[in-house]
Amino acid sequence: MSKFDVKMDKAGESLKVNLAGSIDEDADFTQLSLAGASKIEIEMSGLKSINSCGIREWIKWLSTVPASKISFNQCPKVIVDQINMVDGFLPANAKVESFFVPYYNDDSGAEKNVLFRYGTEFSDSAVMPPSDVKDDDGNPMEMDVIESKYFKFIKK
Amino acid sequence: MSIENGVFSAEKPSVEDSKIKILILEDDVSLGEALKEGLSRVGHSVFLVADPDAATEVLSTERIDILYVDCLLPQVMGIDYVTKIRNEMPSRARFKTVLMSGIYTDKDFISEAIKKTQAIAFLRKPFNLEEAIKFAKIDDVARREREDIGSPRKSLYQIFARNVVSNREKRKLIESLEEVSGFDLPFIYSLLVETKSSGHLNIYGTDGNVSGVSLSNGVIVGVDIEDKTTYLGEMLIQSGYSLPEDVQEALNDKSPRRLGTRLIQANKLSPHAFDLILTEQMNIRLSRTIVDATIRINFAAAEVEPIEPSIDSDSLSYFLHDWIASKLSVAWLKSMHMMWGNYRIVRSGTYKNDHPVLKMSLIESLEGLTQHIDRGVTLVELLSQTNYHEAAVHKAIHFLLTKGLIVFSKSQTVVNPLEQLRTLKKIYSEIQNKNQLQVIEYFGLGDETVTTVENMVEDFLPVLGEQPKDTKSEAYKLWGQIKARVSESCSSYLDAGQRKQAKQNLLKTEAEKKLKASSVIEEAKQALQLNQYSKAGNLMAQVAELNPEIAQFHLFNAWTKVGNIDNSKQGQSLKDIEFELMQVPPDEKYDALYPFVTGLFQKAKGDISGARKSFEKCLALNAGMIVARRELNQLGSMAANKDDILSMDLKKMVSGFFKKK
Repeated sequence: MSKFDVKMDKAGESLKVNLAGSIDEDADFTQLSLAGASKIEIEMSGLKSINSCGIREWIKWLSTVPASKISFNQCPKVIVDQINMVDGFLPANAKVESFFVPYYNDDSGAEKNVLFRYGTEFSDSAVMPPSDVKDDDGNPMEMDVIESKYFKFIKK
Repeated sequence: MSIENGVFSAEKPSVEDSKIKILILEDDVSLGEALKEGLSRVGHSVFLVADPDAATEVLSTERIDILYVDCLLPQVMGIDYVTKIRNEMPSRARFKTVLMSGIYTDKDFISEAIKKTQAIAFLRKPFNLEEAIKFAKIDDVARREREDIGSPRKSLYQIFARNVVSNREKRKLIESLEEVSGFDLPFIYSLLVETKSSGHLNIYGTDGNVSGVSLSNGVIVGVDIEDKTTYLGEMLIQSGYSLPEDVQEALNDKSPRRLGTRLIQANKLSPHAFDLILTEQMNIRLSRTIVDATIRINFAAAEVEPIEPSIDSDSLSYFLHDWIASKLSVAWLKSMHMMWGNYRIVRSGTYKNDHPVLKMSLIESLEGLTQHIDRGVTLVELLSQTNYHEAAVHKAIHFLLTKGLIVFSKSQTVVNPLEQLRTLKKIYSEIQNKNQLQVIEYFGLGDETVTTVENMVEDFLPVLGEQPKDTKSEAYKLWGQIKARVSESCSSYLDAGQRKQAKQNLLKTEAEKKLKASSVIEEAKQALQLNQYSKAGNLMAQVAELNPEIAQFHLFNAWTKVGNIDNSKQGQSLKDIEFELMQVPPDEKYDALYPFVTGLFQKAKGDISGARKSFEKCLALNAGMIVARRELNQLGSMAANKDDILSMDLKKMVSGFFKKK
């Protein structure tokens, strides 16, 4: 199991937070002060899982942030699922800048996560998926999520 | 548009693909016809219309998967039409959109149009037919929704029909469930355990609460719920692992150490016994998630470390047995099983004649059940067995289904006319006094993926069996009356205003019934204290009608039944009481009332030594319980038979090693 790991990089009023591992009852957010930063970028590509204790801790943590501008970057599927399911997981002052979408090929069983970026693959009200996603052998891949559920947060 | 060599060379879709329903909204007749021809030839079901009104008509009656729409229509822009439908008829607008235009081909326009309509493609006219046909695909979930197998929830309960369930399949299946009932959770827990899952199941309540269950390779290693009531003290006393005074002393200790640690360090509790109690605590917490409410779930596979205490497949069997017996309401089970009434119950690959689950009380209480299963009985046939209690049948079958030992056959059996008449009569009488919403609930039709009366009725009809041929028969008449009643209820259900009104009325009636049930059960309690068993019997019958889910219902019902045992039918009476006690939820077992009623039952069976111990446990939990003291005094003169270690069962003997005298 991967432990929760945080790296913070502050430059002036900007703060970059890199989260990795599992967010669970052992994840200690109390040490992660976001105070004083007016712009916070949270990078999440290394996050592996989050359980119910982690969800509660996350909401508590982000609710302490003053009116900063927060961006969620490279959100893995586990995080997108929580954004869609849990009110407050994506605070009102936060915005998803990029997130991963799983793709799958039925014949080869190949799986791949494709990064959707704001302004390119999605906007405030629409999703513009890349037209051609292929696996390593060049086979076409299909989106492996229920689109109406997975992209729900975009229209939130 | 070009058709190369006059041949539609697009790859032929699979059988499932051929069921795709397509609507073409195109005012250019020749183009529309050609596209329809092409899509029909590869097996799709295609509707062609030239104006938006006609399209709306088709959309309101058919579940369309893909809409091909021209951007420039006579009365409205195609893009505006799609947006309007998505806003005004969201439940009917789950189709994918393919936009077509020969005029608007500017890049910015296309990009904006795709964004607005969430279209999957934009075809510039003239286009190649092959190119147009390749978009006529839908994903697995959408396909399954329209297959015979029915809703995602129905697929969930048939998953054990497969020999191997991959992580992806599990995830997709769980994802496809829009909302489930808290009563579906035992099945989901079992599925995750039996398929050796690792990861986190997060459970979201409508009140914003989030609970979670963590699994490591098919073993439950963590349960997190918002209500952290521990019951540890009660559990330690009732299990006999600790003495009441030791627990009290540990509780009075103001140190920050946990209760268990304090007792272990004071040498008043064995660490192994404490692990057993912690497992039981997980059972209680899991049982608290099993509620009659709508929830949403999400399972994310992840590496989770194996830790103790934990619940493996074998322990889970016992807990599933208790949850299904005690937590799932009969009304929910009836509604849940309704769709499978006429399907044969078949053994799955894991069914073995000596499977320990077949020895558990719910199964053993139905004599000959396994033989019935061996010969491929249907649920309707099982329910018609005169010696079987309806609730017991539903619970036993659900338990076997949950453990993955049985599945329902893929197709319905041909129903014998007499049996069909009996079923129709029963259904007719049971829905007679129900309102429209209750009718929907009765048949388990409230699946939000079903959006037309036609589809809802289609889902429900298998319950009635085929329409009887003889138009003058009683069965024919009943079949028609039930269908009409259900159709009427479905159209009311699909009307949001009527549904809301019916829901409000139902909630009001239920609240009144619950209130009344609370006061009647109080009267019954008083009658029981005064040994007025006949009066208590009448009162408990009223409670059963008003709200059988009320707290401690089965405990008081069991007490009442002990008091009303008919000596001429003692065997049956004792079986009934045993079934009542089986339905007591796990958290109610740590109330002093449970050992008291168990003691009464043991006394009625002639197990005086067991009864004495139960009354003592009761008094250990609540020293002020006068009725228990009275019973104990009555037993006073009877010598308590000491357990002989040679005749004791193994479990009892082993647990005895950890008990405090």
